[in-house]
Amino acid sequence: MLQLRDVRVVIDGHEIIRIDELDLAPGSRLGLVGESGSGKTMTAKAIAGLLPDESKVSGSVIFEGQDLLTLNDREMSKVRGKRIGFVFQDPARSLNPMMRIGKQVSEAIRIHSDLKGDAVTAKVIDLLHQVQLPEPETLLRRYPHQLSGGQQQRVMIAAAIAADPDLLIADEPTTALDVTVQEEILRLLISLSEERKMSLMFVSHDLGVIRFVCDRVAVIYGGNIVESGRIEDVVAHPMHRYTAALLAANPGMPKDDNFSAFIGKRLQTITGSVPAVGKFPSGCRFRNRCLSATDACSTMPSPITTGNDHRYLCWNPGDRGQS
Amino acid sequence: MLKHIFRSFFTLIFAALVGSVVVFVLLRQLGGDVVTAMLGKEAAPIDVSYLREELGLNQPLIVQYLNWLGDIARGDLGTSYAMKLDVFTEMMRRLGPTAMLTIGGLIVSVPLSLILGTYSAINAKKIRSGFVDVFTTVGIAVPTFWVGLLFALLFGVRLGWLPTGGYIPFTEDPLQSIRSVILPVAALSLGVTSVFTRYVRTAMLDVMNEDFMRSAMARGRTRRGAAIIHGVRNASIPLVTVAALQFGQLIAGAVVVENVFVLPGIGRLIVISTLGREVVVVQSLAMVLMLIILILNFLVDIAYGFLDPRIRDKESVDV
Amino acid sequence: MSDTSTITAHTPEDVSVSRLRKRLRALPITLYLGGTLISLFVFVVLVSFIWTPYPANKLNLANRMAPPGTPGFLLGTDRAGRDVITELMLGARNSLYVSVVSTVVAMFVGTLIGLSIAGSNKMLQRPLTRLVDTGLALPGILTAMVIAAKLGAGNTTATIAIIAWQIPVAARVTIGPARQILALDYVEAAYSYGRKKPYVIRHHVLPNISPLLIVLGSVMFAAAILIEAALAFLGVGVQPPTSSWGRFLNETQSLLEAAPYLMFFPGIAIVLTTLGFNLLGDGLRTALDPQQSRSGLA
Repeated sequence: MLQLRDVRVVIDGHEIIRIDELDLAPGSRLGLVGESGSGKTMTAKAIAGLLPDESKVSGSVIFEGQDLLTLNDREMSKVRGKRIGFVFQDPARSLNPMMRIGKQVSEAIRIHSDLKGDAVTAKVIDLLHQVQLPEPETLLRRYPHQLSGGQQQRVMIAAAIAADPDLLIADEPTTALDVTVQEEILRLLISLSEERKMSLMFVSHDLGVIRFVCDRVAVIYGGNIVESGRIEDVVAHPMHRYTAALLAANPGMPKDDNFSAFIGKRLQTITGSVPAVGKFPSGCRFRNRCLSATDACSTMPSPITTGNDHRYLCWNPGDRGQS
Repeated sequence: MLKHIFRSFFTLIFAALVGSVVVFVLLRQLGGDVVTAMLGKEAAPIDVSYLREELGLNQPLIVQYLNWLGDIARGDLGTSYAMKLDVFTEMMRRLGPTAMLTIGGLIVSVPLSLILGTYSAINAKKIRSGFVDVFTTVGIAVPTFWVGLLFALLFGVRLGWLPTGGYIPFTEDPLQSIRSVILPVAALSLGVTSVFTRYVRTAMLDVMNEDFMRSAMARGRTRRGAAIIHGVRNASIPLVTVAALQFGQLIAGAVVVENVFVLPGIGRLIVISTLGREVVVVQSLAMVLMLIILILNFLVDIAYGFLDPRIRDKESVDV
Repeated sequence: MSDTSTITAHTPEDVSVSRLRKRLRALPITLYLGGTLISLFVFVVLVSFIWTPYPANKLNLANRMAPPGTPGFLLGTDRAGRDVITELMLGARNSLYVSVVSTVVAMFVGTLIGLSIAGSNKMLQRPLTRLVDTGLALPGILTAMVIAAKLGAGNTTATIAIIAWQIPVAARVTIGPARQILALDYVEAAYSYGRKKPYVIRHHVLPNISPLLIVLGSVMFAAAILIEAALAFLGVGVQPPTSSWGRFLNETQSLLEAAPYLMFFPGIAIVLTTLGFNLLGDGLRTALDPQQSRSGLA
């Protein structure tokens, strides 16, 4: 339902994003994982058409047969909220402090449907029920600052799915929240996605969280999708060295659904840090931090696909963690 | 919220007291004797001592101050020495034009600034917003009285569309009354609108960078829609705090414009009294105008509390 | 050896010249526009001390209200037969005089008050700040009337009024940034090795807020010129025989029908000068603090 082809985002002459191919099947949940600065949020914004004005985007983002990159702001606004919903990282800042909860949840309904008055209110109450918020009738009239962080994020989710989108893009939706609350929100996203047959694009820096939520994963580094595939395949047999390093940094990868058992157990970090924009090496963008880099890595590897649609960009793949 | 109202009220009282002391001391102590200032150096001694007695200048300064405050509280603003007029009555008689000017200025400048400032913020970095910038830059630099003269010349003398001076009371003939203040209000509004547009633009630019604007766009608002539905509402908070400054500007503008268009308002009265060295009249008028500005500020402060749900809820708040 | 020396001898200079050129080009256009207008203004004032077309207040009774272009009177004469160019040059002098004095004094006192409030304890800070806010809300014209009623009209009155009005402006603009700097870790650390507050303010706060003060000074200058003109226009400012743009405009008011063009000259002079200082302020703001190049400083 969502296909990115040759998507390039250029800001100030620097190529920030270069994604040759990224697919999301209907009803599936795709995780987009990478460190901060890897381009994952940029990718989400590029899909949403919410990049800053000075960025140049090329390629195609085909959503349900329509190329979103050809749409202008007005046309795109008919896609945003109605067909694609968004949930952002910091719920406290993402909600308008001066607008009642009900009005913010109903915003997409009022924009995209002909419902009016009581019908809107009824739908908002139903939505607040669906995101498991207590006493929706009184909550409607409250302001964001009167809610806890977890409740605020539930409100954001309710507002994002208000117009029944086919795809929900969640950008680090739990990063700003307490660990216990995180799990509740993640479970809510999973159940909403299953009940509504809604695809989910889940952006996170945490492979563990993605493993918990998603069935497929795309690993992004330096704006490139360096590896993608079914989550079990990628976790069990990471091919790209960066994926392997991410996994090594997250040793308590869960084999079951016990969330709190592994969260917060990250030990080893990847050597160095993500370079600044425009400071990435040529060829494989990870090679200056990769412990297994060879001379071949100075040219861009071409994608290799193995069984089960497991795809990666690496000259020197390994299927175990970096040592 | 109660605390917020209480604090605003305290500020009002405190500022009014400090202001009254400043006005009083300035007029009594600055540059010599009040009576000499009023009558001139060659006044007959009998006149001097009579006026001294009448103004209560022989009493201790603190008593004079308290008497003056008491008089103002009772609505007794003193008597004009030269015109032999009760200042309060005269002020009420002249309230009409001044009120029409300031209210007219508000009606014109606030919506206009909101539209121009928002437009400029939404189109920031585009040529279109440059026009607004040029307008405000020039508008701030142009003296109100000169704009008044230009308008009078163009629309009054040359085109003959509108009167260049004089005032018809609203109760007498509303239409002619409004016609008589159109040019003064236009002249008055130019500077105020320019300054306020800049504030709106700054406040809107700040709000446009907020995460919740992105959320609104993610729900299907266009950039402009988000700016109008969410932006203006949130930008109103910083704007309300600077609105207080605008009242002072409007009243100052009214004083000037009344003199350009010869409108019989309070501003004209204060200038005539100043030129006639009517120390007592000016003192009282300045105090009253100051009180009006302070009370407007107080009301704005309260409105600010009602506007922001975070302040409404909080018991104590840093404003 | 000779090769390298010629290279090193030339390169730094070329680099610095091209870098300078680049930096000059990066400066905002408003800075150049404002700078040009102000230079022109100051130049006219300086020239007025050694040369004006006619002596001050020379009445050419035969040539009263001569239109612009009259031989000997490029911009014509006013109602009393004074040469317009001479009047404008002398008016510029008075404008500059009043605004320099008032801006310098108001900046000094206002900054001092602002710094004192920023450095005072928390209990005092809030009421004092709100008091300054209130002072900001009171229009300068009102203060001027009060002072003029007592002192009589004149330049002194105008100057004192402008000072009284500008002090809260300077104080208010200083308080916020000064408080931010006083709260910085390295500034707080200065106390731990025994520095007293006045020292800290002089050596840490003042240098940090000086760009702000420069911008502020420019904007205050513009405001001072406008008020000086307004007061003179109302008859409360400078008195004859001293020339002033504001009073010139007042005199043209009665000539709206007879000689309407006269009001353009002093008006345009005021606008260009005010515009110059405002543009200079805008430009300086952008140049000194590119991050926060916003408009809307009071």
